[in-house]
Amino acid sequence: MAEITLKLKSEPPFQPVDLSELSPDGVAGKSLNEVASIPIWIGNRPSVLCSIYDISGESTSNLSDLLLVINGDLPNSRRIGAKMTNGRIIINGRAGLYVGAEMKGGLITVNGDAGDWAGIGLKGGLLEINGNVGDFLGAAYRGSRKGMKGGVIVVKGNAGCDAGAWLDGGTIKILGNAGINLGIHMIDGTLYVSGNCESRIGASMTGGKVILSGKTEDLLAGFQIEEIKDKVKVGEEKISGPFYVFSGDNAESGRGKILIKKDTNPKLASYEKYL
Amino acid sequence: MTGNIIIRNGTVFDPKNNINGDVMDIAISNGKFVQSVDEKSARLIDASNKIVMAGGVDIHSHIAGPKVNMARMLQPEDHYKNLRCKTDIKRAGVGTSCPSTFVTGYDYSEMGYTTVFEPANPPLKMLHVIDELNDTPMLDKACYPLFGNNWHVMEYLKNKKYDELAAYVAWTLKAVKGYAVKLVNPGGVENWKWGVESTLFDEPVGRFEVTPREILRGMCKAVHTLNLPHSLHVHANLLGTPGNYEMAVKTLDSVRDIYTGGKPIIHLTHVQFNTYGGTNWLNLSSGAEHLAKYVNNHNHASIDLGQVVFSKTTTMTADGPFEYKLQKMIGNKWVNADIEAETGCGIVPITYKKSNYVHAIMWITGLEAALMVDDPWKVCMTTDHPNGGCFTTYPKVIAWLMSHKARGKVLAKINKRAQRRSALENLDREYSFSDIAVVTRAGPSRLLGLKDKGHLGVGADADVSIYDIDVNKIDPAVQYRTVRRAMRRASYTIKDGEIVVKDGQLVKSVPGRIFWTDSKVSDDLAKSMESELRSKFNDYYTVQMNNYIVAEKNIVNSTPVKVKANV
Amino acid sequence: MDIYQDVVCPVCGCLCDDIEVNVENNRVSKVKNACAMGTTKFLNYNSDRLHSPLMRTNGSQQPSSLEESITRVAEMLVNAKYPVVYGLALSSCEAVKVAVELVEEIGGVIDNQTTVCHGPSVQGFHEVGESTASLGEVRHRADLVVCWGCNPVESHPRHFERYSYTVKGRFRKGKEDRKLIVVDVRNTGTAKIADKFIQLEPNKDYELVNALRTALNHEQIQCETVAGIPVEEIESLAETLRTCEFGALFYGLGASHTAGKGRNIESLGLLVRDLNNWTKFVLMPARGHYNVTGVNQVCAWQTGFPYAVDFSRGYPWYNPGETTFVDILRRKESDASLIIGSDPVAHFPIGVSKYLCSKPLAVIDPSNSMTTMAADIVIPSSFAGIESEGIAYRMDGVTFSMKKVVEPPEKILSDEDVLKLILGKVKALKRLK
Repeated sequence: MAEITLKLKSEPPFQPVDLSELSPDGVAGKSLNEVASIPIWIGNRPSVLCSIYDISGESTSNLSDLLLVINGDLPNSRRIGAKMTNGRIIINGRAGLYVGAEMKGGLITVNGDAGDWAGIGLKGGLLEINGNVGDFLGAAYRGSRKGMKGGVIVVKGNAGCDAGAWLDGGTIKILGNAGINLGIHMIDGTLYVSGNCESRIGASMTGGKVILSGKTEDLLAGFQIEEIKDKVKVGEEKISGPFYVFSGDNAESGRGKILIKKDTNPKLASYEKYL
Repeated sequence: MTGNIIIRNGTVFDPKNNINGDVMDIAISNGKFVQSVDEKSARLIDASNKIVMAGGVDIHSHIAGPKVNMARMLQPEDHYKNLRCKTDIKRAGVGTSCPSTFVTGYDYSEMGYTTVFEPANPPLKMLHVIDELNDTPMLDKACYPLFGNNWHVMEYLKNKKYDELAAYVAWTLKAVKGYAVKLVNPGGVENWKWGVESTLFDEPVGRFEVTPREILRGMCKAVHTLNLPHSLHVHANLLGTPGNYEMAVKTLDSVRDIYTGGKPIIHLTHVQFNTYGGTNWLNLSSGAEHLAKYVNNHNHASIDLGQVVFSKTTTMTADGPFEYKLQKMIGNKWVNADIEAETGCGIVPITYKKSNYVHAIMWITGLEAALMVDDPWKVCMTTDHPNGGCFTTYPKVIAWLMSHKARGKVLAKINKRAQRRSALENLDREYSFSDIAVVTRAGPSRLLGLKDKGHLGVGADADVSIYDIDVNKIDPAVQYRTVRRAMRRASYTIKDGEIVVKDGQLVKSVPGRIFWTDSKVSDDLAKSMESELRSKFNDYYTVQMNNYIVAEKNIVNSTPVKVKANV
Repeated sequence: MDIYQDVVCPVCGCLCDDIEVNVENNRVSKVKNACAMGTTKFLNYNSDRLHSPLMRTNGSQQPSSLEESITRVAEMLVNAKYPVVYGLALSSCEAVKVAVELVEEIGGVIDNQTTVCHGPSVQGFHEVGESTASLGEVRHRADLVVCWGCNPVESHPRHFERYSYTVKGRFRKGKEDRKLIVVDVRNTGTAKIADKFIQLEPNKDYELVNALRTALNHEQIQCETVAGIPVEEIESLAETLRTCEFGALFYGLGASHTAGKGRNIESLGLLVRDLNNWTKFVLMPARGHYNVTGVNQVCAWQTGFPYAVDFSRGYPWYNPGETTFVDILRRKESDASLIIGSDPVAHFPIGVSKYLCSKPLAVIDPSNSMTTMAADIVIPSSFAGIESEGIAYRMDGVTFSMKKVVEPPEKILSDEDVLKLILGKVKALKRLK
């Protein structure tokens, strides 16, 4: 495996840093000097990668053999790994906004928190966030009805609001809690939350599946109970229930499904009479 | 203003002046075409092996105003696809189907256009329209106030007060600085304000007791009486409905008896959307043949195409009920905005797909209309931007008009059932460069009454487009791609005698002017109409009459066109 | 004495244009037709006025010349890597145009009060659109008016009498043939005069709209209450909405600022859209701040986006949450700010205001405020719509040419003119670079 390591210099800029050229695709087959000259933006000033990172290691033109390690905390960065097609990124620190935006393949691991719009418009590959993530995880751009279409996102910590908005394929797993509007406008795909989600799960969904093992305060009126299921599959993983299965969102004449773990949600027993 | 220019050795197409591909020089001095200028004092443009035409004139393009701006605000996702940086000459902007105003001006200019008129505006919000036009550089502009669902208009007609109606129309044009009279779905939008989706031509409008036919005829006569430079401009009832070619023909025929010769008295806009056969969406067909037959046999009408281009775009129109029906069919985001006492609007984004039967029929219909109407002076090329497609697709449409082969290439890829229903394959006609100059420059100028536009004759405004097409080497029927590319980016665009585009890139930004019409009616009539209007104004509007009026100081390069009414 | 008629009021989004103002010795002496807010503004705008430019030197603000403060502002902006220009809701559209050009030149962000007000309404609009109308349509046709999370009796005092409820329309006599429903968390002044008041639980607006939409789809709701309202009442309300002849739903920050924000407005947009399958229904945000609608309009036609526009890359970029002023401050990313006619130090969350004050801060404002007191550079300006002309937009997008009824104090320029001077200086500095 060829590895390029970036180490954040001291006193990094606090203005927005655009790193949309920083990905395995962006460094593949380049000499270290060329990598150092990769264009970046610091606020409104064009600059180069080596102005904020010390760069070492060696690249390769074989993307699948390329590992890009980014050390340091740059929460004001944007678009690390954007549109990448293959290869691997490990970020040791906070990942900033739009990490893995429109990713098509490869693997990004964030050993830290990631900001808002992580994995926006994801098409393929795997995005792992080992800390917390902000709002609009794996979502669509504002006004767009084309959300994440494929690939997998796994978040070890908590996610903010609107995770999986307009989700249209692929899988999102959140092992902590999720904010409100989980899977809003979902069309297809699978959204699994191991922790809690306070409310508005599956708002306006028309298809796809949201699974919650933790607690929710209530469900939207647009959801009706269908059945109780023993277990559910998320990808290859079997998660044992039992789960209440609801269909909706009927406000949208939708045909999506929400599966909520029965034992963690005694309040939802009031739905059983409608079975 | 500017100096002297000689455009040397260009292949000139100036149909108004019967120049049809002659190689000749064009001289410009101080913003106008002149007979000749002293070579020593002139900037020389070598137009050898290039086509020279007047700058493009667009008779109908939605570029500014409240509904255009709502469409911009509706679709940030559309803007992300085309982000334009600021340069030394250009302001920043965005633009796919609803470009920001600076980008609109630059893109039109780089395509060789110099005059673009915004075709549908509520008088109540005209200051907004004009302020956007102020921010649309490079072009001469104007706007058409909407009258077809106006309460005053319907009341004057009901009470048969035709002189007062004419006076009211003249007053409104002057008050809000409009150029021409526009009707959109006359009577239909007022009905829609009570939720009624469809309106019949001879059925009285709810609570107003006049029919769409009466509105059409009354307004046609008013326009005639006022001697306005442009005829009545009409978006017919039942737009976007299977079988509506009958409505299109009926609309044109309803004013036939008013015609007394000369220029057309009615312009039917974006006919493609109004010229369908069939009875439902499954058996939708082109009705272009019927409309073309009517237009060929009568001289009182002109049309523009509203051609569909397969692309993602935005539909926007004052025809609120049509947009409501459209969004119900395709389920996209939807804007509807009704305007008190006057009109309304609707917006729905759309993607026209070759594989979609209906879209394919629409594409066929527009082209059939263009190819079956014999006289190009009766036809203007438009896409009803952005309804059929963005104006930057005009070169594509031009290529289709000029090349049977180009049409065939697309025809081969469209929905097979639609393909089978099309007469396009057998329509051999191919527009010449002269024809193109007519339908994109000379024709619209003539119809709009812009005597100094659309041609290169002495005294006209020196608006020029030069395209890198060597007519000796390029056969547009075969090398249509070359034509398309060349017409997308002009070699030169000259505006009022200043070079503003070179090699397809903007080199200078100019503001352009805004035309509006001042039709003078007799003082007594004007006074009595105005006094009556003032007495009841607050019963109609939530603004004061004095605040309804748009002051000239709010207009960049205000250019009134003065005419005298017959009343 | 001069009497000015048809004056347009520069206070809330109603932009009432029937105001009559008497002016004697360059002072407003009498105001007719305006509500309490409008009257107060015309009579008292001059209080606590700034009379001279100020610059902070050695910790305290000292009077300075206009030229020097313009130069300092221009230098501050040109040297910044991520400057923000914020405000403009009290400015004319002409001023907004200059501000947009300025921000383009300096490669910064331009944001306005929408960001803390009806931003969620814009976000909802992006998702679903809106069925709306001009205010006169409501006046003439509405037989049902719903106020959701807004309180026009206090925030837009003449709304009902000019546009929506008690006013006579062509097809409506007034209050007697209209019904007023209020949906709110508390019994407001408007709720007290309503025909029906629905008091929902705080932060449950989305839930209630979802239930209404579900009821409209004739689907069973499998619970007893939603948002604290019994399901039977919700179904009855859905029926009332469905069976009116023309409904108008006005909403305010009670909907746009409770949990869900933009999604709340999106759901109201969907509700009104659904209602159009049965009847005629329109939706309108009760915009509050004078020309904030105008700022959105100008920004949208010039840049494509209505607020929070980031030019740092040369092209306009927009994403609320990323390019909005409060979020930029929250993430501590800006390095200079120019505030125009706004008081963010008083109104923004305190942590965010602290950061704002920790970086170079310039303000253009007619009056003293917490922000002017915290600023490094202060440039006084005149009151748009009273001391200077200009174009402004009503909440429904109707456009007005505002009047000048008094002269501003000597040497006080309009914010349009101040911005032009700054822009000129910025261009000159950039040429030197």
